[in-house]
Amino acid sequence: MKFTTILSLAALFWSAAVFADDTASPELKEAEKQYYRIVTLPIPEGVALEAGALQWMGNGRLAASTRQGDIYFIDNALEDPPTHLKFTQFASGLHEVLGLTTKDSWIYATQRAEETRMKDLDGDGRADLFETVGDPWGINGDYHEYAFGSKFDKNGDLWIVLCLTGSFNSNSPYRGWCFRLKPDGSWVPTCSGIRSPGGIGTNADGVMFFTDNQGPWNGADGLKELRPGYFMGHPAGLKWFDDPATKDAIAKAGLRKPQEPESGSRIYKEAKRIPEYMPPAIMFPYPEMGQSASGFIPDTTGGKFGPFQKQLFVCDQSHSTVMRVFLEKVNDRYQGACFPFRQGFDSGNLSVEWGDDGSLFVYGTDRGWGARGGHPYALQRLVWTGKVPFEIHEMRAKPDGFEFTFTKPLDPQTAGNPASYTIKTYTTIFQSSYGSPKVDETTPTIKSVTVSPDGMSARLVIDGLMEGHVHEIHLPGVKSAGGESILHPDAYYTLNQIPAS
Amino acid sequence: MFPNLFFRRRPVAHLLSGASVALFLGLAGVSRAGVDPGEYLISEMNCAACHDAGPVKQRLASRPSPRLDAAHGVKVTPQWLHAFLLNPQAETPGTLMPDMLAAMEEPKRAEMAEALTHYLVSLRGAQKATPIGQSAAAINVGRTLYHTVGCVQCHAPQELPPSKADPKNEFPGMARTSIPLGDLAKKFTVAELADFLRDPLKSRPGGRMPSLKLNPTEARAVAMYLLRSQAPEGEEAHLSGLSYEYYEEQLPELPEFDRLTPKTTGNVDTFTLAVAQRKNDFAIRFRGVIAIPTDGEYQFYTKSDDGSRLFIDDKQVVENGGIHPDQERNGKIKLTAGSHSVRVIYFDGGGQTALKVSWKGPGINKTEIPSKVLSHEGKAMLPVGNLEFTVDDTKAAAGANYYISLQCARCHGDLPSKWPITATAPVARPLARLNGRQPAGCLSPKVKPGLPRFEISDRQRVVILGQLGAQAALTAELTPEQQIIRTMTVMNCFACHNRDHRGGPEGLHREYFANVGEVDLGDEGKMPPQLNGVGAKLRPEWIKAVLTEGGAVRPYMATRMPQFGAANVGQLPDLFSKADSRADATPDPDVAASGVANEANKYGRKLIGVGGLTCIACHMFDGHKSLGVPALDLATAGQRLKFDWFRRYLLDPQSLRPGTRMPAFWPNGVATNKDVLGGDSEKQISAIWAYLARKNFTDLPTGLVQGKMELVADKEAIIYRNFIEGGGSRAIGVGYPEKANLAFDANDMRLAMIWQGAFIDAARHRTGRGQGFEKPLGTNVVHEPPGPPFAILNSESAVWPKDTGQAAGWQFRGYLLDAKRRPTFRYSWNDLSIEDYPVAVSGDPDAGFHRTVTVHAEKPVEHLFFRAAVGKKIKETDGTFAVDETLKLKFPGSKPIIRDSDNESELLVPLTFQGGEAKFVEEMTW
Repeated sequence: MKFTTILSLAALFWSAAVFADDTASPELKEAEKQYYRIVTLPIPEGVALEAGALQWMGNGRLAASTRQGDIYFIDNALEDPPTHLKFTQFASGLHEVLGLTTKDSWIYATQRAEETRMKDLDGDGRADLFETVGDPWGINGDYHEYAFGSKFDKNGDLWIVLCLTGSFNSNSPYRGWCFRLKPDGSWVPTCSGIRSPGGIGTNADGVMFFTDNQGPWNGADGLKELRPGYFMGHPAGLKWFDDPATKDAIAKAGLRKPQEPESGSRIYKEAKRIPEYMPPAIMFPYPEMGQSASGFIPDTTGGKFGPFQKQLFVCDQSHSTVMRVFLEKVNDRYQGACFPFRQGFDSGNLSVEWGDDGSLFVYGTDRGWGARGGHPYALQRLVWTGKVPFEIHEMRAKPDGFEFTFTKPLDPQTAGNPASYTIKTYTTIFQSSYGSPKVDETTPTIKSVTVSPDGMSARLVIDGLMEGHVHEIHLPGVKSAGGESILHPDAYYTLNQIPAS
Repeated sequence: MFPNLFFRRRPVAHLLSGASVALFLGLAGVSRAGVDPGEYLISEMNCAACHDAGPVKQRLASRPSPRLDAAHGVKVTPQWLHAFLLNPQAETPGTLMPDMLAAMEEPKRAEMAEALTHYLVSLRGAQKATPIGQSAAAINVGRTLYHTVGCVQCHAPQELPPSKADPKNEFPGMARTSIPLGDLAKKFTVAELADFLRDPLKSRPGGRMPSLKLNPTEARAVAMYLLRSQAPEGEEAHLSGLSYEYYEEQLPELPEFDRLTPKTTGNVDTFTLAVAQRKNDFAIRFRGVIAIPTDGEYQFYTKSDDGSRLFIDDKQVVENGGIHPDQERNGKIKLTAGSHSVRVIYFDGGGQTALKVSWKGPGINKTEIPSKVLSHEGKAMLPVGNLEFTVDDTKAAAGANYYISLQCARCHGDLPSKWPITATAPVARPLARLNGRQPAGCLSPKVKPGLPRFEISDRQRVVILGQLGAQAALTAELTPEQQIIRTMTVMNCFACHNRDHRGGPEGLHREYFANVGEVDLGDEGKMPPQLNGVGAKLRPEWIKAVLTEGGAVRPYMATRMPQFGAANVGQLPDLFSKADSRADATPDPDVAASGVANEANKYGRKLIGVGGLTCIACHMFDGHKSLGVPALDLATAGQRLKFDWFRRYLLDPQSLRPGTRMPAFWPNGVATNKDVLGGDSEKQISAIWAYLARKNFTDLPTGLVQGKMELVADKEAIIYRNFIEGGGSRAIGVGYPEKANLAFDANDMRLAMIWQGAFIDAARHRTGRGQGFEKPLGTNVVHEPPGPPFAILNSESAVWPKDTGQAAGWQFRGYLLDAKRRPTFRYSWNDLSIEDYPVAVSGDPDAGFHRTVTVHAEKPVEHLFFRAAVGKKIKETDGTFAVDETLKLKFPGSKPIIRDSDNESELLVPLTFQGGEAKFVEEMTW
């Protein structure tokens, strides 16, 4: 955007055209409320609920772990409006707990330096036995060395992703790696190449992913599949393949050291050159979609949360938003599209968890990393009002274009007109220095749009699909059969590969 | 060889080199850019110094030449000066200095060069270069500075960038497109080059070589790096004084110096704190050789605040460590006459500082060690081809006359002469009369004797001739933007800064911009800012401060804003203002005028602080650290920025700084914070401005300065797992209601530290990103011995092992809390499981610990010991063991032994197994 276009107050405030690339508009926020409303849970005085993870304990009791090292139980969390919430402290003094789950009457917590399990032996409601489940990685006192833990997956494995020491280095064992805790208690080095995770979890099929943040070797925030043996792109942690203290365990896990990526290259080029490299399934364009991708969860509510079943809801800490992600598999690799979903949360969203009623708990803090919400921490719930918004539902790559499906039938006139769409593509530089501008920008041509007979999908034939590029498509002119405009007419598809069929 | 302006990178190179010239002329005739190549050449080559430019003087203003007088000139070596006069291009490829002797016949030419050398050297007197010691550490510092502060944006880098990546293989070609340094090793001593680098404008007022704000130590380091070839490999010499390394660290005790990286290094006459660059929190290691005059016993003293130690021949003689007021300690040693190595280490941990090192010996009364007995070994650095040079008055007198007859003064100014001047200076034709179609005079490829010969290409001749034929066009005045472009071109500002799609770092040059330390600020933390509309952004006073007064607000950026001198860039603040002014700009509000503003700034303060928009989450404020990344200090905004820009920036950061990480807090002009001033965007922004526009911030934004968050154990013990200084990165701090506290190190599986009184302040880890290690809050901190707590010793003399942690078989297992939340730590060592249960007990005056330790093993283990203490002196009285007269230990039921080991005493508790278990109790008071 050229600053010379912003000349007057009027332009600043009301010219939507000028701000077409900024999705945070007040009208939109109002519109979003009609479909998904936010319930804010009051937090008692004296509880600094900088929540890092949530876990349901049964009987309607929710556990929340915090960056300050406490674990609280919250009762009546689903009450609406929330007036009888009860907070009790279960544990304290732990080290930045960013993973919380439960198994066999133990509560498992991921601390910076170890995975710990705890239980209350004397029945006073507080944990008294704290067992170290494992600590195969190191920490050296750098604040950046975080550890994020998953829930137990379908195989009974618990996954942990480890931030680097700062943005560039791996100064403690396994920094920049992912570990799995197997049911037999063993720890398996699983993936390398991690920079700065913001969250970890599975998609609807139980495949483990994490979000990695913009920085060195990450031109934008990304969502990456943690496929065992694969390299996530940042070479700082590769040194542990050769370190006497770690190399045997890595070899035993069957991992091969990948070639180092070449700085200044492009992701899709390096993915072809380095077989172990796992490119991001989704790049979240920076800053349109967000500036700090964090926790996420697949919609497994069976429709209680609206029409987006099996899709992922991904938080952005900096923008205090929840985004929506559709994934598909092309040539054995995940890729797909992200869409704006809901803005206006109170603090920096760290992650999300389902309530039994199909509402989405959204929680986080802005401590150390500023966020739009402005509150130091918050626990909120996003509740579907039952009203279906007119939205893009899914977006699939085709050999010669994209196929969109929608939540409501289309108006064939507007939806079938290529002029109702705009498209551009770009990618980022895959490089050792911090972040990246958008580069290699192109403007493909939408040759035709065909609306399906049932009116639920639109097939775009596009001249100039770009392998390895984000395809940013806006649908400002597309109307539903009922004359509605799309609530979020913006889609960003990471086209790592163009499908052959 | 071309004048060095040709080597400059884009856009000058683009304008002037090779084929681009034609392209450029074809495009625009008299350039759109405001810098016509011919005009640029004529002015940079200083034609108007001899040829009166008359009415076009303004546009062809000459580039000031280097000054040669004694007060300002650089004291280059005579051998270099002589060679340079004989063939300037050979010594400094690309120099703009013409060859004045080009058309002279031998032996006249040689005679003139020699005479001029004698004359120029006579101005300052011949000096013998003294060798100085090469310091590898200084060279390292210099290497980093040279490649990061900005030198390599004009001069060729000598190493790959820190990333070591050069995907397009640009590095080998960079020398061709950079300004050559010439044969520095022949030209300079380290001291002279360092002096020049500190203040290049003194001798070169043209500012093309700007100052990079190097302090004396930095200038010396860069000089030593650039001249590193002066010290031949492997040759060491005896050099006077000591070598030293200076460190900036916050330290509680003398550090292990080998683990730290020195900030600077150098040579110094004696043991002095004068080498320190800040008041507090630093450490120094002095090293050298001391000449002992006669055999005998010597006593050495250090008097210091805080700690120091002195070593002779690597043996510690004086122990004066720890934090303390100015105190003297001494030690004795027998020495033979001759050279002995000496080493003094010193640190300051805050408060007053002092260091005095004295000796006493046979025939020597107690006195500070004189510098004459101190020396160090080093590789000696001397200019290449170093020669003894004596000024010959006859030759110098002839040189003074050549200086006149060759018209050197036209560029270099009049110089004093103590000899009779008989020569006269011819007068060159005015520029207006130089409009021939063929190159002649000094433009001729074959110049006549007495005329300068410039190394220029035929194409450049054509361009100059063309310009000379179109002098009328030069009477017009340049627009402000044209003047800006001209200045930014000749000063090569475009190497680093982009303005309106012109210039800016590119290619491999980008990779040399770096952060200071590791700063999570992305490109904004290291790339020089672009200058689009900078006149609409910054106040002229601030632009002036940045350009000529060393003003800087980006401490996280390694690259420095060079200082080009007010005479060369002093016009820019005004020009930027004129060129960038916006007719619709909202004027700066008069924040002092009304009571409303006063009221407004309270809201501004609220918005900036925690609970408002929390700007201080990222921005530093009035010298205080932010809660997160160290983004630009907001308190400087009022002095630097214009309100109009500030307002537009807050409303849409990306529009003015594409790619910035600054979030939009008023997306689409609508406030995200509805609680302050009714969510009125304009009022909020004005209020923030009203607050920032003040010069004194007596009421800082909320949440900036953190109060204590003391954790207090009231009725139960309280646990704090975090980074604790003295307890490690995996410390488990425990505060007990009795007011005894401990830190258990879960990396090394040992009780690391005990203290009394207050437990700990959690504020560091619970505000911002929680960086760093927190100290115990209480008093009487006792550090327990490092290393493993248990060992199997097969003989009494077996040394206590050092290896610890997972690699040595240790594993942390967790803890069990009792009814009062007191932990029993569980850890294991190979097949042994250990339960370690410290309980605080009230005492008079202070609380202590009763610690019960149980070791479980399936099979009894022989010769297993627990090491309870290590100290200088451990003394037993009636079953109480006093360690260094502080810690008192009892072991009811056990028979501990005291043994000497490596100059220290150890207190070991033997363990005996009964039924798979060995147990002991340790009672600790201090």
